[in-house]
Amino acid sequence: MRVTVQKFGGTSVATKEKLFIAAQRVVRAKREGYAPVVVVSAPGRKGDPYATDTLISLAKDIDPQVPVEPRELDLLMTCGEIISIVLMAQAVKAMSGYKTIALTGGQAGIYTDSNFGNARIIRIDPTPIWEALKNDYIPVVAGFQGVTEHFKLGGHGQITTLGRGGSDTTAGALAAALKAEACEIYTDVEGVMTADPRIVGNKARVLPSVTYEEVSEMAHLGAKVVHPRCVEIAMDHRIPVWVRKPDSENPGTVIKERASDLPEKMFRFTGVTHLPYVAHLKVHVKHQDDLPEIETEIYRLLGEAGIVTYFVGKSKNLFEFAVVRDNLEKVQNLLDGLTIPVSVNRHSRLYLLTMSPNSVAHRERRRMLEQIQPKLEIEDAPVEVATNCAIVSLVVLNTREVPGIMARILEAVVDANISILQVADAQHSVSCLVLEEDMVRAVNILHDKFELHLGVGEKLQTL
Amino acid sequence: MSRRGERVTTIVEPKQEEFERKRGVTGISVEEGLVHVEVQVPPNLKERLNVFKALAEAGVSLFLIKFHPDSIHFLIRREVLSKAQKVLQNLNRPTKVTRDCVLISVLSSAMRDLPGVMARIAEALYEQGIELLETGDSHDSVMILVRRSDAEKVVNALRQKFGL
Repeated sequence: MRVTVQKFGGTSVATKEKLFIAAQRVVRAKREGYAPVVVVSAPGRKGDPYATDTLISLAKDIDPQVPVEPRELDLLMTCGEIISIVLMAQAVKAMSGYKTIALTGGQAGIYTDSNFGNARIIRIDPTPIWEALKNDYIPVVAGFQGVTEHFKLGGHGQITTLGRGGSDTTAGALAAALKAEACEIYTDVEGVMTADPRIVGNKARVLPSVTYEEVSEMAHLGAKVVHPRCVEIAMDHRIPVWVRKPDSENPGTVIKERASDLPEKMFRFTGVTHLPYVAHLKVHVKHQDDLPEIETEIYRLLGEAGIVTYFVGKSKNLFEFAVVRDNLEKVQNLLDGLTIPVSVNRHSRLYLLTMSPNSVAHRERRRMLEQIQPKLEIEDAPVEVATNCAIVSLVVLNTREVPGIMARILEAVVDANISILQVADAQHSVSCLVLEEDMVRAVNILHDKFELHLGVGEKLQTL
Repeated sequence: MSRRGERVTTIVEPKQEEFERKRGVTGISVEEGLVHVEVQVPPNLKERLNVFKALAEAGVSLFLIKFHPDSIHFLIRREVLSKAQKVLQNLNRPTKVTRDCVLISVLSSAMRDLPGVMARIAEALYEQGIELLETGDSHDSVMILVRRSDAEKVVNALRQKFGL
């Protein structure tokens, strides 16, 4: 049996018209001899009546002071997908007369741990889907959900949600469990693109083929095409992933190779991504020897507060990191006015962190400390904050094989008079931290500089 | 323990025991034969560009590049050190070179969902009194650069810290 898993996102099932366009894809696959397994998301986008955030707000609005249990939230959040599976199953049946069966995640055999809100798939029992396929049904499965194997209250079978990228993850996981020929992700763009067309316009090109690693890197760095968790499962189980638009005849993008399968000296300039809403912080420390102790303490506090840091780095007298801007207030509350005692080489000092060294509050805090601890050396540690930053990244397959990437990036930004606050490179990307006001220009100039509009991203190159 | 290419040794390999990858830190890899280079150059991007251009023209690949207030830092492979030094001498830029460095990567499939990894790494190094030459991070790893003589101690401390 030639199984293909077809996943349709929220916009594909938002209206009757779009639902029939998606259903047409399913019918076509069936007529071409495939056994399609369909996965659907909740209808619509953020703010729509059955979208996840709308459902959550229904429960939270009862009394914002009383938190909703994660188990109950998961029950509520899965309603949108359940609506979608029934509608999609009905649309396919109405269009073609084929037999369809709508299945929740649990009914489809998806078992997870009991981490409500962000559950991890433990195993998939493909029996219900195989049974449906053998009896010539088209199974339509609710994305983003599973059931527990064990749970303290109510036993097994509690409904869970998979967290971010949920429906893509369901599709990748089902494709792996069924050893499908393909996992097709239908979205509102033509495929994986060299940049966001809303930023670079029609210069953005569809990449015919990329490796799992490149698309994962793009997704982590801001591209919103396919979720990296789906890519990871597909890569581990060697399932080709296609990214396509439901109403387009273009082939879209195929993801079927691992970077490690390619010859060593091959590289490709793949695309430019962007991630806005980032803040950059620098903590200045007067004595270099004291830096490790202060750094350790700050990282400990940030870790305990659940704050993830990016662009970590250190120089002689400062260390720096970036955070998503939603976390900035939390970071400010943690660091402003914080005192860190340091003992290095039998020398003790007290560092007083401040985000506004000239403020009255800081001066008063310092004066009080000097009164309480007259013998202790007190040092200010100013924390410099750049609030409105963005990360612009050039995704490159095998960055390290290619000399001169940073030179080309700098050439482009110098010509455009854009400042770079920091850089970071990984195996498949080079990222620049820029001011948010420069983000759109930076994406455009890098896209032009690396000639991605001319199709450079469409072929592998050799050194 | 497995070797990937000539240079990277995976000390603790991430296991795929179940259907989906485990969350959290799952592996450690070590890359040897690296040289850390610090070039004094003011923050002006035009001046920095000249350094990167000259190195690119000589075919020197750089990684773990960091901008500092009065310098740029990067890693190069040992085999291109003399070529890089010649370029930097011609540019008349004061340069500090630390040979025999090791890049240790702490691996996770979703580092951005894992707060506290950097804290535990910094703690492990601080407890051992080891100097961290440089750090870097990506969605699937936190990288730390140390001297080769410290590498074994660091790997052991990290294994202990993360229960690997």
